[in-house]
Amino acid sequence: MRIGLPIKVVLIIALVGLSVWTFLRYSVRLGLDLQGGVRLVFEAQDTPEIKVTGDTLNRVQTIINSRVNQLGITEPTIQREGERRVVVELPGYQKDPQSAIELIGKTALLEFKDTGTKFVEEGTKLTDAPTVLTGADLKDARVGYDQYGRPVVEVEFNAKGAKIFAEFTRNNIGKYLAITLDGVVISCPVIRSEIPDGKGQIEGNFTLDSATQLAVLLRAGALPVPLKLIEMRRVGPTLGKDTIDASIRASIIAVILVMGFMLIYYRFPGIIADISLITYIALLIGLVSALKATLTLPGIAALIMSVGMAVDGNVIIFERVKEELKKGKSLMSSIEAGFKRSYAPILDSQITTLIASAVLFYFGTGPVRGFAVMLALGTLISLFTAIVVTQILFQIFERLRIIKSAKMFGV
Amino acid sequence: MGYFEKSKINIIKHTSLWLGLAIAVVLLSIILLFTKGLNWGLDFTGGTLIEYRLGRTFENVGEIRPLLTEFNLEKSFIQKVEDNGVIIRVKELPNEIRDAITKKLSDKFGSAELVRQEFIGPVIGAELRRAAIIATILGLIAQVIYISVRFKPDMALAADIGLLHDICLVILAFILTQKEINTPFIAILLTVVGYSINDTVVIFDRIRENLKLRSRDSRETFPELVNRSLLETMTRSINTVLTTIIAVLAVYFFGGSAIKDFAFGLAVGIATGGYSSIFICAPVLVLLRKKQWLREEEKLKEAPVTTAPIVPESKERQVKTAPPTKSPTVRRKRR
Repeated sequence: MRIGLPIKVVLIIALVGLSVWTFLRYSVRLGLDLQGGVRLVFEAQDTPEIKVTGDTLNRVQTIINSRVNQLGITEPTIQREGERRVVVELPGYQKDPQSAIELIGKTALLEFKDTGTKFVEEGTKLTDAPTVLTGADLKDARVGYDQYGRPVVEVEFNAKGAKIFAEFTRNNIGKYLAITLDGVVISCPVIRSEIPDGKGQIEGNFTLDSATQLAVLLRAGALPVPLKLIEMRRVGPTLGKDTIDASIRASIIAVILVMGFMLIYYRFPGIIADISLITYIALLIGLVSALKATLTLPGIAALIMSVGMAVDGNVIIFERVKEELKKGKSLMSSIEAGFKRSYAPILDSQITTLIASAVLFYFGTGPVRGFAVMLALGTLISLFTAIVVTQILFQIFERLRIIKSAKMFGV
Repeated sequence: MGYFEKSKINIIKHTSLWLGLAIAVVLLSIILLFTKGLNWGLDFTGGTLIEYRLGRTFENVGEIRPLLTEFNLEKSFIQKVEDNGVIIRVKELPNEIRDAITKKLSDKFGSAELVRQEFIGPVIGAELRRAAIIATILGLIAQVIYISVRFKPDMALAADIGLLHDICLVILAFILTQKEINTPFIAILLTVVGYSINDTVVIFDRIRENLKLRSRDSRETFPELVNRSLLETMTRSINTVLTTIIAVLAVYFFGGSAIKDFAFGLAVGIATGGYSSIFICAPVLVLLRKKQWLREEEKLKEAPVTTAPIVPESKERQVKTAPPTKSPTVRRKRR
């Protein structure tokens, strides 16, 4: 396939333009370590009745999803990790992480238990009484107020639940019905009359917040297995902002130093390397924005490091061109041979980096994954800029008769 | 001829020195790993970490420690971050105590903003350690396979020996500086795995090319050829390490405290990756092919006395016996 030089140039300029536009339009998605927020890792625990399986974890994930939706976080992510873990990321969450942990990690198994004529104090653990109904039989749960204006949770059973509830209340008038949450009694009302419509009220010394939270939990449903928090990371917004500022400063310094080095060491070819480095940076930020890849702190380090690695292709090519020139070849054939002979080493050396990033991506989590992604993206784009863009630049300078003598290569 | 080619430095001649150094590094890192040990960070040990930004600057952690006595936490790991930041690492930290600490700090320093809080369960650490080891081994294997396919199995072996050295050296650097090892350490190891091979590949590519171009009656021995290949690629090896190190050092010096240790590890890994490609991988390759090139050298030694005059004769004979239609094309090519 032969494409004319002007078309190639136009294509690349268009690509760079598109990249910059994408970056400005969509900007870059920042990881929790940069924008602040909370990351929670929960592990599902086996119970005597239920062993954790992929299916259980799917249900856990769905329930957590609907619970998290109540938090009003813009872009929460809830992901499964391995056999029994769920990772919840709440970017920008600035409240005490404890409230999020409670909302997400609570099993929230609501049970209506038959304690007969025995009243059970609130806060006691109740495991032995027979269960009449559970939270799974509910259709809805909302915050309401009792006649004294205290917050309560109004529940409504589904058809099956309502039938059982009506029957039970009819047969047990004057007896107690304990309501437990995760085995702990929150209320133990006496049954005064039959409740035929499947609507009830849980009064349990609630504040407005705790009533709201319980209603949320009940609507989302109980988790099939208990969850244990095994990791929590919270980064405040100031730390994230400082880190971003420092990273930007480091990037600019790195780019200037690398470009300066290439210019001083290689002179004229250095200019070509620097132009392709700028192309590289533009394409990289464009691709990172377009792919909506999450930028983490190690990811930034990878990007900055990749600036140094990106010129490697140019170094290989320039050194090769110099060698060919020293062998006495003409300028043009040296450049041609320099490129031709450099493809193999450039490709081989970049593929080894890609292999390493692939392994890292597979084993890493969170920020480390971010590092692997950025390293791989950088490597791929640098292959393109080092080989294609550099070659086109050489051709342009050649057409413009700017490249005249071997002296320009310091030979 | 470039500077290094003119210099006629003989790297391969000093193979025993380079390998001695390498063995010393590996042994030292193993010994220190078991005696001094690595400073495992929160990710690996589990526990809770809190980081504050305080209202004013302070001299050293001695000002903070007494505040924690009340909670029996005065022996915790406390670290100063930049001018007015502090990191406190404890095994367990209930929220009430955390809030009490926040209050104490803000009373003393005007304000105390909790900028970071991390809790890592005990299981995670063991898993991370395993993941780090498996990832590194898999990375090594993947590189061996790739190099074996693209080059030769003995080149893959030589490259991997250099790689093991680099990993040991990075670990050694972390033992000696007692910098904390956290999750990103896996990223450092794998980057070293990728980068070290990257450098080696370019050198081996040149060795391969020079072997291909070597005429049959060349008097250059394999060690000489490897040395020449090293010198020819030396400028590239140095420049590519330099540009990458420059970039990583920019992160180290200007990228903020959170990324400093990470950048340090990368810088060490990149430097040693460049070093080992030249001073370990290439000499090891020469050793691995010793039998092969000794045989060749034997032939060469005999050559001037007995075989040398025969070679051109036989060549001539070959040309003569070749079908006559072919000889003009040969001549045309030579023109």
